[in-house]
Amino acid sequence: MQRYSSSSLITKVLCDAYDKNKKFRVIVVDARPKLEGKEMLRRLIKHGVTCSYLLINAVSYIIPEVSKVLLGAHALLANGYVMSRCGSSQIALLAKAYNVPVLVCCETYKFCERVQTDAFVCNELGDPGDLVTNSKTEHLSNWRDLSSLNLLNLVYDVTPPDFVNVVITEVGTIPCTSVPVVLRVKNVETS
Amino acid sequence: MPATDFLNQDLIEQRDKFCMKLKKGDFNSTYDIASTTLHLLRRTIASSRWSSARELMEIVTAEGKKMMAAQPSETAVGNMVRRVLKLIREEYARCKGQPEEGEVQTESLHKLFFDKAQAEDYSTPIVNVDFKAVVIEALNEFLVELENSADNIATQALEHIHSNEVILTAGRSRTVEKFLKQAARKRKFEVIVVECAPFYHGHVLAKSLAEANVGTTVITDSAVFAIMSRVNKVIIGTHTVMANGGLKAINGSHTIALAAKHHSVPLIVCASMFKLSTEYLRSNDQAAFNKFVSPHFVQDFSDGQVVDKVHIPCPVFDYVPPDLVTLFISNIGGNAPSYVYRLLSELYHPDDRDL
Repeated sequence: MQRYSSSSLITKVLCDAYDKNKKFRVIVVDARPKLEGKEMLRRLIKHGVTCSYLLINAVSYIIPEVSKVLLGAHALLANGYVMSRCGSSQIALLAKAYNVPVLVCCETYKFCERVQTDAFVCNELGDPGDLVTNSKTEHLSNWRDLSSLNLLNLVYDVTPPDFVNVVITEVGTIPCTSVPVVLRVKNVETS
Repeated sequence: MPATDFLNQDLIEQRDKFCMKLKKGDFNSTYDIASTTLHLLRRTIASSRWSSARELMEIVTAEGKKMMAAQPSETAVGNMVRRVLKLIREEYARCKGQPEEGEVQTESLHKLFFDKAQAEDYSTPIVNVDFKAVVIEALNEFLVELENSADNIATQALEHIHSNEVILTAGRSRTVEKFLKQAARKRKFEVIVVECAPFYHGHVLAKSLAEANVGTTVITDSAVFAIMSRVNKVIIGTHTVMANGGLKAINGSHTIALAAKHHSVPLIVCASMFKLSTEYLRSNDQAAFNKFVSPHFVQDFSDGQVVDKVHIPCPVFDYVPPDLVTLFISNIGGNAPSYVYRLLSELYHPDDRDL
């Protein structure tokens, strides 16, 4: 089982499963510059779960051993695209290429009515300085002096619905494309 | 091996120093390894005593095996040994007055079925020509070709890059760096460099390109899929070209190749011919294929609580299957991955495949 970056929801899911005596192994995949996976790794170890830890570019090496991929989400768009931490789409892409099921865990309050097809039209930019400071060798420490050089720190990306097998929500297990249905039902309930 | 008694002490020392350096991983580029191997083999041929081509090939094979055993993941050593052996065979055939083996299709089905009796022995000594001088001259020509290989690739740059393109590259390949800088002289384009943690070679390349006034953007490895919709071409280098046309490239290349395929972006690989190896990917778990380095790049040893309980693999290479590669650009021109098997039979003799 493999999960990406940090999500308190996924940590809870895994810890609950461990408490119910399910035997499994977790591979935590992490990416620069935030390296949020380390925090999740610490929590899982404290709980006693057997873990491995990888950077995202080593995923191609480990994916043949993986049985499921768990992703968290920041939002689920109305056309079925999953907006999540930058790098999730890559993991989903690799999982699809190796026929590994991808499960997205997402509460229904994260469903939104926007539609988007690529990661550029609407995204957040992080601090470009983060790309420099985390490296052991500071090649880019004077990057601002070079006018031709830019550092791009994307925070989110969108995963197409054909890479995701199923979305797990508190109202049940639904496919990605059912987002507008759930939204409609919720609107009817609240209005 | 009686032939090795003729090798002088100095040469043995040099060879052992080279093996030591290989083991420690001190070389910066595959080109340096290939070049040093060739120089050592040239010295071996020049200073050892042999009376026939067969004896010479045995000496070269023995030396080559020792060097290959020092670092099996560095295929460039084996490639150079095989090239030298093929060279010796060709020169022998030429001196004997026979047509070169390239003209006679050794691998054609007709030959396989009917000409079994004519196995070449290479043991008759050549008297009328100074065979040693002939071989050394051929080796020198080969060395010149090796030195110019990166420049030959760079001269093809203008045919593949047009203006206002966005090109994605990963890590730091000296071949790709020369390629892009050559194109930047006449065309204006943008380059996006993937940084390739945990070694961050991408940073070095980005700085070098920006200093050459090429518009460069550095992105993290996690942004590859997100950025691929914006990219026109992906141009990467590789450590080795496998015998089926696949790649043994830097960590993260498989993801880049898959993302490029999904967005229908052509993947171009710039690699010189000395990187073409006779190896195949033997098993899917990459046990014999990949090399692993210390996990301290990923997770500091100072954090004992984590390091104690967690398995942290840190592979160096990635296998990219041949169906994801669009084009190979080498010093002898552009080729599709399906043609790589033919290049193999031109560069190496089938008897040398398993040394």
